[in-house]
Amino acid sequence: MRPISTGGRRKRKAASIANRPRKTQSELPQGDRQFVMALARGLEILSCFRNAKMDISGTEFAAMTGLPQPTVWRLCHTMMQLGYLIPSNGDRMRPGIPLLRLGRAALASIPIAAKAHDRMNALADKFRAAVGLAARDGARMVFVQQCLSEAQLLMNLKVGSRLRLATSGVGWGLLAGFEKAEREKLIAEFVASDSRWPKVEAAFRNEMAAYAERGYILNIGAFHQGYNTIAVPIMGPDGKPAFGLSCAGAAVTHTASFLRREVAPELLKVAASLEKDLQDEARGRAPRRKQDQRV
Amino acid sequence: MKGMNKVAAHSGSGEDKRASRSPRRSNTENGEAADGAKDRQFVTALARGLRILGCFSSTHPELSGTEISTMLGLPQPTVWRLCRTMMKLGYLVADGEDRLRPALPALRLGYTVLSGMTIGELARPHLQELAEEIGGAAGLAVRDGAEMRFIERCESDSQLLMSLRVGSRVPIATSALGWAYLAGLPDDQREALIEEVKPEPKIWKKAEPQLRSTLKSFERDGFILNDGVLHPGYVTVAAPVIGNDGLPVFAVNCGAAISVVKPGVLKTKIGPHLCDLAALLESVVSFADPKMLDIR
Repeated sequence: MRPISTGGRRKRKAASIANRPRKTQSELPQGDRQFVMALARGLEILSCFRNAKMDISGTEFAAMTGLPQPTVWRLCHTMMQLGYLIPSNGDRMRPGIPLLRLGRAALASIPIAAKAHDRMNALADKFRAAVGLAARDGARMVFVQQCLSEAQLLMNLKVGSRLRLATSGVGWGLLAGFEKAEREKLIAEFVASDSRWPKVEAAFRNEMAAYAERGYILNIGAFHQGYNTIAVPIMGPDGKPAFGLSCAGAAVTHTASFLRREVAPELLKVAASLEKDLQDEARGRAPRRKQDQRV
Repeated sequence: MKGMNKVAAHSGSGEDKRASRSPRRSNTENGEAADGAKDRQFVTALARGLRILGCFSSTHPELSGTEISTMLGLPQPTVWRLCRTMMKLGYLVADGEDRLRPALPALRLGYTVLSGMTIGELARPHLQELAEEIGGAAGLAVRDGAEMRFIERCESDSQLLMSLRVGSRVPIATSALGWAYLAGLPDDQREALIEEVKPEPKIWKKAEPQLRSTLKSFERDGFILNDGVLHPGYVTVAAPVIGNDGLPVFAVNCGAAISVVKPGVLKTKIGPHLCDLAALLESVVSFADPKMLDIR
């Protein structure tokens, strides 16, 4: 057992916690008695690692989640026993290997992420750029594939990194693929929490209009000065945008006209080939399912 | 040592491929019961939810509730309740046919941190734990020609250690690490490699019988035990880390001066813990991401 806080008061803490399981019960959300609060809280603690923060202390977890320290301690203790948290640097913890496997399993259910790698990598090399493929998770875009060239100035985004839907180039790329009404609905739903939105709204509207004519969106320093992005939606077999595909680089080298003239045609080619893959995938899945059922 | 339970708890799935050659023991089944009984701080509902998540892997990206309850030996209603909670939180999604799979938010649970690490960095805290448990050193090595080269090595604060560090090499033919690598190979490839790396007859005459008998006990134990044969006064256990193609990718070892190791613990505790670590690392290499396997 590894203490998260200093060990002196641990016994007393332990005693008080042991008497408390009922409290968790009473905190269950009304109307859903099936909801397992202890599990939800444990996962909330694990999700504190989302900003690629390497290790977090028990006190920090408590501050980040708003949970009482003794609760955090018990949950962390359990997750350390199971290897989901690993002690590092004294009283700090980092995520353990089982989470890596879980993340990979999540990616394995998106086969296009692996399939797209070589094509995206070729783009990244050719244009000395950062090429990313991202899917929407609520108000965020989550990168499922990312290829970087060896250029100097690149956003440090890894697979699993998240950007805001309404204020990221790749989010704009996805949004551009929706019918206007549906897009407005998404915007209305998700911009409220996004403080950067008012500043970029005008540029967003321009780009959505321009998308109708040229088939891609540009983002010229709107979110990060000196950093430009071109992005397109990847349409799924259901006719809705399934992913955003973006290509970005330093404004000095990746000027608007460079993105338009050089990058756009290639990016659109990759997008079209990925859309075809998605369609093939959907067609391939139907018969296999039937087989499964028979077995 | 309690900490290695955590490794055992997750070594259950996805290791079918090795079953034929190395019978790795795992305390998966009794892990939870033991934890729960001894440890009043242990939150069983959380542990069970995490065990459910742990069932998913690259080999099992999709599972039904029934499959999960069979894998874990938990009642279906319990599994259902926990899965429902995770679906509500977005970590699991179900398709039309009751198949569950982890969804994008699963990447939020530390994946971005872990995905940037090399296998050596991922193994380090576990190697450190083993080094301290045995009171010596533990390491991760890759084959490099006729030798095994350390890509990670951790030491306890013990005074008596072999003088090895990251980058050091030991011969395949006469080291526990090398023997573990050999043990992980299919028979024909093993014999071919032995032919290739065997040292001059004077040394080999002594070493070979040891290797042969150790390979036999590997069949039973899942790890190589070297009881001071290769280096008098120093004991080592080692195990191969098998990749997706069924061939060894790495070997892990840990060792200490005979004088500090309690008799019997190598076989009953440290060996099995080392196997658990090998299985955990296998879950990393089974989805070979070349960047992660970057071994300099």
